[in-house]
Amino acid sequence: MSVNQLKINYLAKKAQVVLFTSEGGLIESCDTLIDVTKLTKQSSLFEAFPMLESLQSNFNLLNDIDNELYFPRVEFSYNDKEWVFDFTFYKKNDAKGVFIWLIQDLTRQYRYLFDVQQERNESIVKEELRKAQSVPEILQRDIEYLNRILRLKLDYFTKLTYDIKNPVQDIYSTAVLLKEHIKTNEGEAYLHALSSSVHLLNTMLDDMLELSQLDIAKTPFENKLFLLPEVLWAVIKTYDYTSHKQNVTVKLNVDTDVVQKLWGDAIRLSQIMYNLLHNAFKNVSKGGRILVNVHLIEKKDNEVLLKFVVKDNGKGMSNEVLQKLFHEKEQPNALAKLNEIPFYKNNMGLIITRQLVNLQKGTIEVDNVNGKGTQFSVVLSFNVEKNLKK
Amino acid sequence: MGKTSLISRFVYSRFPFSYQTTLGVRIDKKVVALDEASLNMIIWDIGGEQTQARVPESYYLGSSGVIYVFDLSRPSSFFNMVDDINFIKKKLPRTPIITVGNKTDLLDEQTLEEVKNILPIKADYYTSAKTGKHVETVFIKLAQAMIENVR
Repeated sequence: MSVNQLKINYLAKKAQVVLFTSEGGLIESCDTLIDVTKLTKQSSLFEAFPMLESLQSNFNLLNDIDNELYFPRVEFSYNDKEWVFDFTFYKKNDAKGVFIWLIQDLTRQYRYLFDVQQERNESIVKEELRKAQSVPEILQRDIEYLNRILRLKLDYFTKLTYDIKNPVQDIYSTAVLLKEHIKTNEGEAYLHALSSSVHLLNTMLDDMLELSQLDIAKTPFENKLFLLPEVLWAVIKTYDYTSHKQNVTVKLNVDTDVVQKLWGDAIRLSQIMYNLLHNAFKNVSKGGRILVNVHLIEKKDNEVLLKFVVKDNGKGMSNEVLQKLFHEKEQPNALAKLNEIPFYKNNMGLIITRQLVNLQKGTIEVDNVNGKGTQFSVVLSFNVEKNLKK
Repeated sequence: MGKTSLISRFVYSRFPFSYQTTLGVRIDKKVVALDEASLNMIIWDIGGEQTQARVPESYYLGSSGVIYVFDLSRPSSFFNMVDDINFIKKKLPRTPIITVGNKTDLLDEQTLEEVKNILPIKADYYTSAKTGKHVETVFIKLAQAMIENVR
């Protein structure tokens, strides 16, 4: 057998030729792959093969052998098997109105392509799904990262302001004391200028502290180890000068059963105590007294419930102010209207305090007697360091 | 996108639970009964390509209507929507095209609304081949549009 004959024999098994008319009549089919003769016994070729039916208007457009219609990768179910054929249609040159349908079986070749395509599509879908699922995680991570940076910045800003405030107050009080001892007009004038500048600087620092508190109130809470007396002492120290100036006694008392090493947000606690003390100094008269007490309410497992009391013997607060501060619902826009509403500006510290306590799921109460003083009680929970000995 | 599943739901009233790529083209047929006539619908299920430009020219021959399907759960499936639709309109001018966002069953109501907002073109129908939601409507509407087109 010649090489050409071998080739023809091999290819013959992989191809089929069907001759048909433009009306869909079957002329002849070798039926190597599909039994077209049998399928068209009861019907026309177009009825048996919907694809050809949909193409029938195009067959008459075929002119010669070079003008063909080629359909690659036609998927076809036949004899319980899935086939992939290439279909080619062209006009039979030597017969008018007769067309050739060449069917090539490429199932084996396309099967590989199919598997590759299937794997590719599945991996694309999986990858897209994975990406979609990881978006919230990535966002959460980014938010946490940004919050950490913001928090670091604000902490630094707050600590720095506190740190600057103390020496500034020292300078101011020294200037006041010096003023009493220097009798020359020139010296008094210099000291007056110095104390005025320091007073202005001190006021600016107060404003900066309030602003940083507003920002910190918006950032997430931290859970870090801190020493309670240290935090409270640092807050009270910031009022050294004020207490000296107003001749007000500030007394700190931490009950002996109160755990001193705590896990929580020390800066937030500082803010609360700073604001409550600020309010007490506003109300107390010259020679008055402010008491800061810390009591243990409850201790269970790794958690302690502490009560922070700031009590003054001042003039007391007006009921209207207290009603607005502690009995009205949260006013989300109140902080935004600081510059418009004097009430909120004057009581911003207490507004922030209430907000901070609520955010920590704590409670805040006020006992107020006009002419006798005000007592704020804040209850907050903290975690205790493991295996801690008081 | 679920083209094969949509056709399977419409022609055979069943949903194939396993995913199978369409490599080239698969042809199905269904007679659609409309109020005024019945239509012999020969449906060419063409394999999804990255762009329509990759679809063999011959697959467009004799088309009387097009259903353009994308997967609502995969944004990459509707990124090329505008280019694809313009390409088809160029190839098949005056041929009705219905755009379909498939797989509504994979999205909750809120997500579906969010996806609708980011679509480059508003889809004509939102379907689920799995539940059958709006599948029949899509083919009936296309059949009506095709009849209207030849009048």
